[in-house]
Amino acid sequence: MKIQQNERFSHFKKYYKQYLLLLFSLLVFGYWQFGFPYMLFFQEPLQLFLCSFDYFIKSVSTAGGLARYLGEFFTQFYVLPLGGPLVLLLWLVALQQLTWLLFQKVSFKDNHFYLLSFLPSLWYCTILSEEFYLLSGLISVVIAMVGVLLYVSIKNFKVRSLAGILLIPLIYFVAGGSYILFTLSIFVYEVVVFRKRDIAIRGIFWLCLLFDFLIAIVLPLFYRMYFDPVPVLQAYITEHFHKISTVFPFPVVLIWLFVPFALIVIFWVGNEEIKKTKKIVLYGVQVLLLFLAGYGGYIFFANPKAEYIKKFDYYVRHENWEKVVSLAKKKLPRNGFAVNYLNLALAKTNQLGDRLFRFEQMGKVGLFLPYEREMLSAMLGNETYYQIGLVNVSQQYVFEATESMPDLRKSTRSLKRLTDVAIINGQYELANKYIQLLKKTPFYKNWAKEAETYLYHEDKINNHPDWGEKRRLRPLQDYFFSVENIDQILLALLQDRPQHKMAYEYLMSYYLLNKDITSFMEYVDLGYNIHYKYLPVAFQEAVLYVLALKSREAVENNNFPIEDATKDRLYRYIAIYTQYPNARELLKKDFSHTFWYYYHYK
Amino acid sequence: MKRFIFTISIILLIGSCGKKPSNAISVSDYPVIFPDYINVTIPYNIAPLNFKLSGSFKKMYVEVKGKNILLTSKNKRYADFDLSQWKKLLHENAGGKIEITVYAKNDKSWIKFRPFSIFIKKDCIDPYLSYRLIAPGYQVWSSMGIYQRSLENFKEKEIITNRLFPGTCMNCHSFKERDHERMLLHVRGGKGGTFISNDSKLIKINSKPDDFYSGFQYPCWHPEGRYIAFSINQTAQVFHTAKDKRIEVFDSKSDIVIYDTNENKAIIDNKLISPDWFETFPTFSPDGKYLYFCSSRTKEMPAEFDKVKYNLCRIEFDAQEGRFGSEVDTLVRVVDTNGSVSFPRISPDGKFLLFTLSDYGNFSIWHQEADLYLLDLMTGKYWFLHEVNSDNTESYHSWSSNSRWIVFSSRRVDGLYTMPFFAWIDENGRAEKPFLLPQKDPEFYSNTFYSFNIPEFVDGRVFFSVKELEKAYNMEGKKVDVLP
Repeated sequence: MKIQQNERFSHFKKYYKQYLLLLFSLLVFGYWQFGFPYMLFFQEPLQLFLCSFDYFIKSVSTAGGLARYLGEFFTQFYVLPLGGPLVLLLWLVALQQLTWLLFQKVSFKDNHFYLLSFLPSLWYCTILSEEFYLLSGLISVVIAMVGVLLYVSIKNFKVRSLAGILLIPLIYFVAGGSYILFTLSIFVYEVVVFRKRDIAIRGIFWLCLLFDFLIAIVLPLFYRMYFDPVPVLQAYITEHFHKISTVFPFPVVLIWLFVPFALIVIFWVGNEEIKKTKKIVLYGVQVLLLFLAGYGGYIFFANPKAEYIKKFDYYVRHENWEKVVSLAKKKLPRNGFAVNYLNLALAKTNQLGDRLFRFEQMGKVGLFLPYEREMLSAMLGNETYYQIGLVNVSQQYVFEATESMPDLRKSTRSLKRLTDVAIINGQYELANKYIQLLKKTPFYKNWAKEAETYLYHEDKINNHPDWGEKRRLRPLQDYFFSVENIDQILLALLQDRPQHKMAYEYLMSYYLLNKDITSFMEYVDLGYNIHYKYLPVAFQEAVLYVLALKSREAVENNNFPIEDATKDRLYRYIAIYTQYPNARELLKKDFSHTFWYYYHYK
Repeated sequence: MKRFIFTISIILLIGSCGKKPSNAISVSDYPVIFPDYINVTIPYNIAPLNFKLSGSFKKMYVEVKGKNILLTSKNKRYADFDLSQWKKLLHENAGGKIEITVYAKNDKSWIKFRPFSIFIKKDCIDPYLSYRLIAPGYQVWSSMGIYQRSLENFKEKEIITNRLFPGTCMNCHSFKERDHERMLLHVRGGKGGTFISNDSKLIKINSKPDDFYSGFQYPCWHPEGRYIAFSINQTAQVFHTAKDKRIEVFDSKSDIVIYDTNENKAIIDNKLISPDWFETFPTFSPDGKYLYFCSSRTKEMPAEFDKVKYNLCRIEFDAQEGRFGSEVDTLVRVVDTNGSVSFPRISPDGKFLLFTLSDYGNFSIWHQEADLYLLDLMTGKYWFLHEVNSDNTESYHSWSSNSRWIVFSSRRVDGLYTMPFFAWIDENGRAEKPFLLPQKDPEFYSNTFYSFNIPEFVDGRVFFSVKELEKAYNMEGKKVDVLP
């Protein structure tokens, strides 16, 4: 038994690094695949990566441009199932392995810091949970680590000094702000590690280090003065870590500082004989640090609520309306974006008028998102306008979303939608411009090639399930759009397209959610053009409510297409509502999904 | 000797640039090329007119014949002419024409298209063009900036961009008679203001006096440099739902004032700040004696947005006294045009006034029907510029120093992204077929997400260092006083 245990222990001792790496890999993969897959699906189409030489040159011609280019290149694969988690796993493991290699370079004895080598990767894994942090930042750190390793691998001091002088600008231009990590790390290596080893202090040694520092300080200033005029901070940090270039990426800066600091600690602690008790403390501290980085990072950066909305967004983009409704059934949406998407899905599955009050509603914002001069409301908000046929409004929202992108870049998502609208509106030269760009993207070129076959072919477009439908739904008259007057817009649209069911149901729902019974009754008759057998249930309830305010005869003798079951429910509701002071509680169980309950209690 | 040089040139060029296709099948059609440079008229100092061929051809070969020189393209994807050879070709052929023959290879064989001509004028064009690059969007913008492009080669440099001042917007760049050392522009947002470069200094002013409902907007320098006319506009925009229109930009108030750069004061005159009229787009005559502007009766906005139509007017201006005359003349009347005049611009020789005419309003870039007209200031007659206009928008424009070239913005290529075109105008006001600003790679226009906004000729390279720009941006802009 004991022999077996010893064998197991020695087996573990021999392979513990591999086991830990496997555990880390499973954690990272699982975190993204099962924890936040939709954030990755959301991120991917918010960039426009073009496979062209021009784009490559343009990308790499700014400080950190190569890291950005690689970041965009790999982000493309997020569109594939498992693609995002595998890409992130690749780069995070690369960072861990490089960190470990570097740790080994400064330690002569048994290295007890393998656990610590996971810290930057684990921390970056959580940082990336915040959607504004970019994969290019991680790649930038990896490039800088490669640079540090390359530097410390050079034995000859003179060659190394020369390499330092060359590598600082090279890493700055290739990886951007992570050149700070490189500079600090080589400084630590020279002052703490090399000097300790080789003892000899020569003037040239300090001169080289001083020169390295001068380059590191002057280079970004030179860059902004003569190459790319950007604010001072941006020149040093560069814009490839956070989507908002003016944001100081403090969490990444912690990694830049951690690596050189860890080198000092490992050099001083790692080269001493460590007793068993100290070892336990050492491992304990590392485990604690990993826990703090992992848990703390999750608390700081991860946003499960946003993931929920992005899940909705994913299915809306793929027009999987049933899935959206079923998601809402599992977990009631309580957020404007999610409710907006749910109502859209209800409309697309012909359930809006029937099931409007089955879900938590949030007023008119649940039907139409106002444009808030930022990307999210515009990008997500465009979907409803597009589906209802207000394609110019959708175009406006998407254009605004594009111009509001935090990283000031374009996206395949907006380009696709702009192409949709240009084709629907018959603006083929414009559509072609977008199509030619999308043809340069690896994952959207097939879509673009297919769209290209539609240009200038009116019949083909008219028969297209989406574009043809939108042509039949879009307004004929011209009027100015204002989300504040959306009811007037819908009325005008119904005047143009009297059988536009979605417009009608959105209009009626809009009045009901606003508790505007007068307008509802004024226009409910427009539903006759849609030839309902029965009015949608929520509309029946509203009509009956108004009639009931007059008399029971008015309810019984109405000419609206209303089911008897709805009348019966109304009588039951009235009975409780009028007789019990605690009616709200009593009605909640059976009537909370009715218009009456919404009208009285919400 | 000339023949010898010619032969050697041909051997060298053909030798280095691939072989001319033999057995090509001749067709009677012109090639379909982008940009459309077929039979255009150009100045002798313009950059190479590189172009691409439409259609699914595998290779192309282009031959340009001129007096004593033969030039071929060295690129298989698009016609790409060597800059020094091109310059030599144009200089040699100034006042004449060159002939371009395009060969293209499809799956089977080479095709030789009908050769076309490019006419070269001896009148040169100003060396630089400045413009703003901005996405043709609605309310927000991302990257934008004011740039300058050498017209003699492909070099583009920024003058100022919002990469340096994140979140800001810059607009209305204007030069005193194309002088690269006398420039102004507005920076909106952040620590913005009106930047003016004068006497080699860049300063910032706060161009919104307390009494004004808006700051200075559309500018025009007086030729003597002391005064700058500005409109002040209360502008808003609304958005169309129908397919053919996108945006409606309108003024609900607008007036004109004169800014005295010496005194940092705004001069106002009742004739230009009338509550019954919208006055906008001021422009001085080249002799500085008149201020031209557009004027419309005020309307209820936005309800009557399509009833606002601008006349072209002028008023005398005394630069010594800084005063206006007593009479306002109307040169182009709404009753005659049934349209709306915008962007009056007078040729430096004082003979012609070029303006945009649209159905209504003053923001003609969003008016597909907007076209350019030329007014003869001696006779008062004006006419539609057939050779220059297209089915799509033609809007902002300006004149070259020698009054022979105009640059104008047009949306003719794709209906949305504005591009700068150049056209030659002769002494009688007759125009020739315009050409699009050449780019090194003609794909440039397909790949860009920006409109070329307010194209203006400049006589030299504008240069502000980062330090100068930051100093001006961070300075406290002196507030303009009002001089009644």
